[in-house]
Amino acid sequence: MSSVIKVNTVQDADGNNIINESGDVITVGAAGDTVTVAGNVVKSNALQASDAGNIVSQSGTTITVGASGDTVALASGASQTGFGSNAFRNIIINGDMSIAQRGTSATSLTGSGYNTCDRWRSQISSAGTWSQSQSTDVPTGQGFATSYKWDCTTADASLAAGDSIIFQQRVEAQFLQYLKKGTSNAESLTLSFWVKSNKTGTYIANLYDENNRNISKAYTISAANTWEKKTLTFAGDTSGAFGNDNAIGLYVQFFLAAGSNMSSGTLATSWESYTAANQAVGQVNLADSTSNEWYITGVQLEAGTSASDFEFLPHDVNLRRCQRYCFSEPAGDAYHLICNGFYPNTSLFIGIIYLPTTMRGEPSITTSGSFQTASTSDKTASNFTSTDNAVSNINAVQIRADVSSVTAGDGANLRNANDATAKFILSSEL
Amino acid sequence: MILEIVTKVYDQIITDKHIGYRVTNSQNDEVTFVPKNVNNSDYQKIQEWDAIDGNNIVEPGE
Repeated sequence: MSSVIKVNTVQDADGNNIINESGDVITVGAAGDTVTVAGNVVKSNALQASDAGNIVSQSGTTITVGASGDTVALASGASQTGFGSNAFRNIIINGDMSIAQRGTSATSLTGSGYNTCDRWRSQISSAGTWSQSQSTDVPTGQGFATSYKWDCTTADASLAAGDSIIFQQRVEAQFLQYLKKGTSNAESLTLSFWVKSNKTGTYIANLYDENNRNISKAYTISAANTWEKKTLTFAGDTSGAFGNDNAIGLYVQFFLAAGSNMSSGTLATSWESYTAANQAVGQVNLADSTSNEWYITGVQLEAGTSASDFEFLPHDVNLRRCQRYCFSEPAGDAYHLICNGFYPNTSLFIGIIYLPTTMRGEPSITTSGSFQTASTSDKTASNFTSTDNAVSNINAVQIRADVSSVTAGDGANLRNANDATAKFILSSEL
Repeated sequence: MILEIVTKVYDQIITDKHIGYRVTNSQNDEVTFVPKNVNNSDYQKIQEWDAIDGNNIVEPGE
């Protein structure tokens, strides 16, 4: 048996409305009340604000947040996860170390340069000899396939004052405008990464900008040979705006060793004008033993005070982002084609390489191995040059090479001379 | 890029026009052409290297 009570209003003992119906409008509670739903489930096709504008609505399988003209904002300190949530929030390119156009390993390293994984630069200043590689040693269950490995092959247990090792990524200034650096609304930055080393102790991460300002944070590798996730938040900097150009705006740096010139002061935990001695106070010396190794992956730098999940990009997107700074013809392919062109005279080849993405600026050309031009006969090609003089936004590169005894006016292509190990690399790194 | 041997490079058509530098790495057989372009970081590195006493950029054939 069912019972039905028909009323327009239900009130509490004080005479205040709990439920009221007026026409088609049913009101639950009264002004100042808190309405709690037991079980935490409310079923509705729309949730509206008091002005009747939709906050959330559903039609079929489409859920719409907000309405036309609205601004949907994330509360300070909140974070978003999942696809489409603040896409490209990671300022770091190739933070998962998945792209290594120049090669997957390099040995006998004692200086500065880009060696394996794209965009990552090593700066070794008289602090041992190192091998580096794109490693498959990664934190379990986090989605990473590769990490960057440093392996000490000649130790320097007693650093001189000026010795140091810095692992860094240089970031283009025009990509950083939204951080509002140099204004009262400057964004905080949060750096997160996975790291592993046999050498436990204090390490320093540092942000250094184009205005000679910097800030450092210490982190600790607590357990030997164990992947650990670190999160460091840097305050926004109200001084020193980034230029809006394609030059360096920010250096994101990991110290691995620091002599007294960089470690004898007080660590710069707030933004300050650069004082070398305040940059890496407390940093352990990773170069003190040939047993030492250091791995890193999942590097993410983002606006805000909290770290979101690492932003995995599709491989092709990640590669394109790297190719703004480095484009390498793939090795491993005999007679791999570099470009088509022609002979303007009897001793010169000119060809055009159309780039897969716009490069930051006019690139350098690094080659190793042997190359040839192919027309009615094969001719050795050497002494590569380019001539453009453009400052930015390079979409194609004119390649020139010396050849001999060719027929002016003939078409030809440039390729490696049956040399699968040949390298042809265009670099426009910062 | 290791700066050991740095040679001036001239245009292959306008032969008196200086267009860049060639850096030869004796350790790994790599040769790098660096355009004479202030926006190129390798060019910037060569300028810094050349400013140090004892370092010398050579003309072709020297």
